[in-house]
Amino acid sequence: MIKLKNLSKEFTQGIQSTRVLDNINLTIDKGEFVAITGASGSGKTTLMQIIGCLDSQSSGEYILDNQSVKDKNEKQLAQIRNQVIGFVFQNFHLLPRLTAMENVEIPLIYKGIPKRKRRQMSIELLERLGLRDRTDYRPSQLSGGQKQRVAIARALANKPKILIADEPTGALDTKTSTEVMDIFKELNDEGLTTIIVTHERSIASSTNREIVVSDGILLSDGKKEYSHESS
Amino acid sequence: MNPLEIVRIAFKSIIGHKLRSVLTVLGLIIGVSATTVIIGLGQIAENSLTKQFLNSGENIITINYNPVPRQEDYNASEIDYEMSPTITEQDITELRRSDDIKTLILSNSTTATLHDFKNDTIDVEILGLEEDTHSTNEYSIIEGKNLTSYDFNNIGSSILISEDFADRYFPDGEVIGDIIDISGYPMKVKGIYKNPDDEIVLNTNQAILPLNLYQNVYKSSTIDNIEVEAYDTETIEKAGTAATEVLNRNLGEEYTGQFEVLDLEELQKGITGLTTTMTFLIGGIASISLLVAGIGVMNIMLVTVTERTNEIGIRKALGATRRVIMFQFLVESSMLTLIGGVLGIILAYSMITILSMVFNWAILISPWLIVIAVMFLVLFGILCGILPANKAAKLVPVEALRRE
Ligand SMILES: Nc1ncnc2c1ncn2[C@@H]1O[C@H](COP(=O)(O)OP(=O)(O)OP(=O)(O)O)[C@@H](O)[C@H]1O
Ligand SMILES: [Mg+2]
Repeated sequence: MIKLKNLSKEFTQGIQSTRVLDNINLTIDKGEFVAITGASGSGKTTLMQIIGCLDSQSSGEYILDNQSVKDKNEKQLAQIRNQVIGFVFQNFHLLPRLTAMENVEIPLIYKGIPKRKRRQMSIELLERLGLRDRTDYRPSQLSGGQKQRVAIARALANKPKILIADEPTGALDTKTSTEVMDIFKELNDEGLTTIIVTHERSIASSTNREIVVSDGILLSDGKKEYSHESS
Repeated sequence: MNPLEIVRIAFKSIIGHKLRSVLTVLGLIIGVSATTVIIGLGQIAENSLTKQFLNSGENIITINYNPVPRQEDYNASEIDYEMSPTITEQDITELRRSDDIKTLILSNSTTATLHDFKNDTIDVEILGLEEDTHSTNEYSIIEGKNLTSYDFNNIGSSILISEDFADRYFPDGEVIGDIIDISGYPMKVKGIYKNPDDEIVLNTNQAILPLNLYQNVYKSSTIDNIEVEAYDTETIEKAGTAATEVLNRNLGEEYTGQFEVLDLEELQKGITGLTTTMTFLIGGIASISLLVAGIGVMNIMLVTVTERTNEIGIRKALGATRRVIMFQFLVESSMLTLIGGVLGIILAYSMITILSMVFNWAILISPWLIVIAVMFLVLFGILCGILPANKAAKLVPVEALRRE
């Protein structure tokens, strides 16, 4: 489903350029539950953003669903972000002026779902994540865990094929983390390809596959079959 | 996706930033209303000037004596500006025979000095009118009775006086039937007419005398002013030419100049030119405020885009295309200008209506002007929004997300 071939990412600032991802080779199949760990600044978010089609690689190839992402135009990429990928951001990124329900509705709006249906779908999702009585709250009125769950509900709104969560438990206590992880496991059991970035070993080990990133290099892969080829 | 959804998002965002939106809209209201009032007043001015000078809507043309001869090689010192021919019985008889002329509107006028109750002097314009002339002018009588055929066909003493004159001369008490001494003749006020408000008259203190009475008082058998009424608008020129031909043929040797038709087209052009220049001049100044308001909209939209970089990033990450983002911001800016503009137009028209009521002008509110104004405003909003909207649309999602 996801295939990265010799993928690199460089950021250029003036004349200085830093290689944040270095020759990544990675394949993630449909239905996998993958954890990505690594030190802060190692390039995890950058990798997730490329997989999530929010950013593009400097070199190498990214093949999603047997199609090279490089060949997609702006409109097609928007559609992939809207319908193929559900992205849970490291710091939630909820729109502060909108209620929980309206935040979940955003991807549905861009898909073109009529208002009444959208409302109903959004409420159902929030209900599933235990936020039935918080639908009309604004992000500032929600706790960290609740915000996280709104962000997850929003990522799931258009029934994506891949769910990417960047440190979904970073700001949560152990109990809430476990609850959120249970949600991911449940979703993965339903067949959703799930990739989560985490600092916590306990969370990483609860997945099927653990990939360690260090300084932009794939250091180890729980499956071992796609280890880093040194450059 | 449904464009209405984007309109809804844009509207919500305007509502969400109340103070900012109100201030932006305020600038627009001032700009638009100032410009609209100026343009509106310009139109009113042009319209009333045209009406006053050209008696528009009637098939009447004025004939004037021009002391400057038409030939190129005249000696300027020979022109006698004081000498003005009068229209004789002979002229009138011949003019009446013309097939192109429906009615002759003949009048004499002079100024008489009277003394009011405080013994202050009043200069009164005395008009001597023929019956036809009188009826063509359609004076509206507000007190007493109008002059009848009897008054015109016999030498009596019944006259009409203007409202202003009546107010001045008889500040209180009975007017109708009262006697006024004009140029040594006692005259009886039969009625008071309303001063026409669409006509430029230098002196609103007027008295109308039947021509017979006038000629009797002022010992003249000639006519000073002549206008001809044609059968319809198309034949005005023809009627005018027919009249000048007769008058010039009968003109005495001593007159170097000649009778001419008042050139309506030239005059109309002159009036339009004058009022257009004025409107443009003042309107130009007013539209600077509109420009400033537009820059205000652009500025606010740029601030909005910068401030909402994160929102734009999130929306893009969740599936908004460049076009959708662009559209959202364009709708936002045109909505701001539209709200400000429509309120500005409403304000402007209320001001014009109030001014018109105070100064007794005829108001013209052309629906086309409103349609054009609204279309212009939307366009203006789009124009002011293009730069910021484009900036928003071009943002890369990750870049936008990184900035908090
Ligand atoms: N736009 C950018 N311009 C320059 N450098 C960047 C940019 N984005 C990321 N980087 C650099 O890339 C490196 C990796 O960043 P990234 O956010 O992927 O790390 P991370 O592994 O997600 O860290 P954390 O665990 O703290 O979230 C960092 O050193 C960062 O400074
Ligand atoms: Mg990160």
